[in-house]
Amino acid sequence: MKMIEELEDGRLLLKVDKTIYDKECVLASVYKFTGTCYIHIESIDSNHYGVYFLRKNPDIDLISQVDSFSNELIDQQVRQNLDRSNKSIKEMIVKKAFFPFQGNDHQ
Amino acid sequence: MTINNSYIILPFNFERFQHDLVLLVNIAGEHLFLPDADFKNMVGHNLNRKSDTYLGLKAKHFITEKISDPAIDLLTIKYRTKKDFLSHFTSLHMLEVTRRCNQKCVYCQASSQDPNLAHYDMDIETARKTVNMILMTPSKSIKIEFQGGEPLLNYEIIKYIIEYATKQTFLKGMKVEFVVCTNLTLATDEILKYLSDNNVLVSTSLDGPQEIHNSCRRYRDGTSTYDDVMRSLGKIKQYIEPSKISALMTTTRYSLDSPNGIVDEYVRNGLRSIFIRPLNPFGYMREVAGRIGYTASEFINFYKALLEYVIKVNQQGYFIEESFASLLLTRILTPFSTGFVDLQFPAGTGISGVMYGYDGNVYLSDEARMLANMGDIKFCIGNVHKNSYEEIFNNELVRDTIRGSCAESLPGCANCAFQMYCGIDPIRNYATQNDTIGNRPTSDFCLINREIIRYLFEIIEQNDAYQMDVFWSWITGRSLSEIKIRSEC
Repeated sequence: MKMIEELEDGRLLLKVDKTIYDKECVLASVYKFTGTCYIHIESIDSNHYGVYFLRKNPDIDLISQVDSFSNELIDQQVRQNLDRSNKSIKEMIVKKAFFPFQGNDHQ
Repeated sequence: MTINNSYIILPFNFERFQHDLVLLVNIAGEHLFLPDADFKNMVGHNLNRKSDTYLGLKAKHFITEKISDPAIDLLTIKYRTKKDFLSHFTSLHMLEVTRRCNQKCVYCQASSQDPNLAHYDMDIETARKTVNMILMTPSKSIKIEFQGGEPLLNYEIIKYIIEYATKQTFLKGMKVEFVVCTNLTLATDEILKYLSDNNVLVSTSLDGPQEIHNSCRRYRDGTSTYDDVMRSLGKIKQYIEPSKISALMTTTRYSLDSPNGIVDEYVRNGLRSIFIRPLNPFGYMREVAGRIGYTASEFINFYKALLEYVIKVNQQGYFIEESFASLLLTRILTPFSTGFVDLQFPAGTGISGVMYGYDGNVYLSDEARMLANMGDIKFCIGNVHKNSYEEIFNNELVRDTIRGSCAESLPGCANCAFQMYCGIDPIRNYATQNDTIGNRPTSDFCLINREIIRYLFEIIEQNDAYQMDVFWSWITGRSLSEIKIRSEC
């Protein structure tokens, strides 16, 4: 199965494995590339998202964008995993840091 | 090899740099560079507990061994210290004492008016009510900044406010500091002596050598302001010490080829700081963007070249800081809190800084006033003649704007490694992108800040003693020779 396909209308399709990458990770990665590309995402089958890239101007190298996007997916998934594992610690730090102010509000 | 996979990874963000380096920044803004291989081991829980990497990450609060570790309490205190500016509600009060100006700068963001139109002046009743409103602020330490137009066109009101606010803040046990933002062309000896006697800081504008300065900063009749600014800069030193004088340099297309000449002009005038800022998308600037504007990348290249030259000038023995870099470096290299209304989160709008118009209207920020001067009063939060302090500062617009400016939950900011050093400007987002939340991938504001912070980190990573000494001299306000002696001890 080809993971990257060049479509006839000039778009590139990248197939992203749902069993490896979360939806949040795909969305966070896509957001970063919305400045240079028009991007459409859809679920193409039970195991894959299809991410369609169309460059916003002819100077943009679409292959290079998709390559960078592929690496970005990995970093974003690492971020998602870390966020999940230390979310409660983060909440505890912020809550404790502002605790006296909350206390005053309740008085 | 002893592998310890039982450690807990504390919250942090990361960014990749060249040479396979990864920058890690924790929740309190502490940073560490790791080779990519070590980073992979870290997030994979495969670090050797005796390794320098492990110990370095533990010392800088990126990992801990147990949830009850005092290190987490320490990290909490550091985070709280970084956010201390939030406890000073509201410290900066900007007053548009007049909208009149004797200059008509091409890029004027304040939509200044003709000097003959006296109805654009703040009157004494509005001034008194504005100070009374300022005195309601919970912050015990406040700054009152006189803006315009050209504030010295309404000098009598400035004197009235200084005297009234000094007396009232003394009675209330508050500290007050005054700043006048002036083009200096109207600064007489009498005015300068008064400013000196009352410890007023002076913020002025100098765009560079004569040709660059005059390209955009002219009198209303089109004649040169440069000679008058030079005369005042020569005279001001007799009254006010250099550390109390700062100058803004607004970058236009005419500046881009002359970073060194601009710095040399500042040095020639004995100035000790230069604040490089890009053009603001407000006021008359919108009409002339095509003529004097540039791309974000052009500005970034200009900024980097200028910063490089400022560092060189410092290394040659003349102390001059680039104020924006100095602010960012303080955030990156020290644990201290640095609120800066234009670059903080939550946004400084209303909670750190607020703007009072000549007519008593109160705006969320200086930019909100600029927008109102262009006809859009969306961010006007009340009027000192009509509304109480509670109605103005506790209204839904203030709350909504603040709620929508928490970087931790904004797309593009939430996972940005530079989040702790950067900030949100919802009014600028609204002005440029029709939405206070904004869109980071297409935002020049985001691109410029990100690239400047990244550039500073590239210098920090090189750890060149000469460059780092200059940075520390800016952060501490000490001379380079003093920094060198201390680092050698």
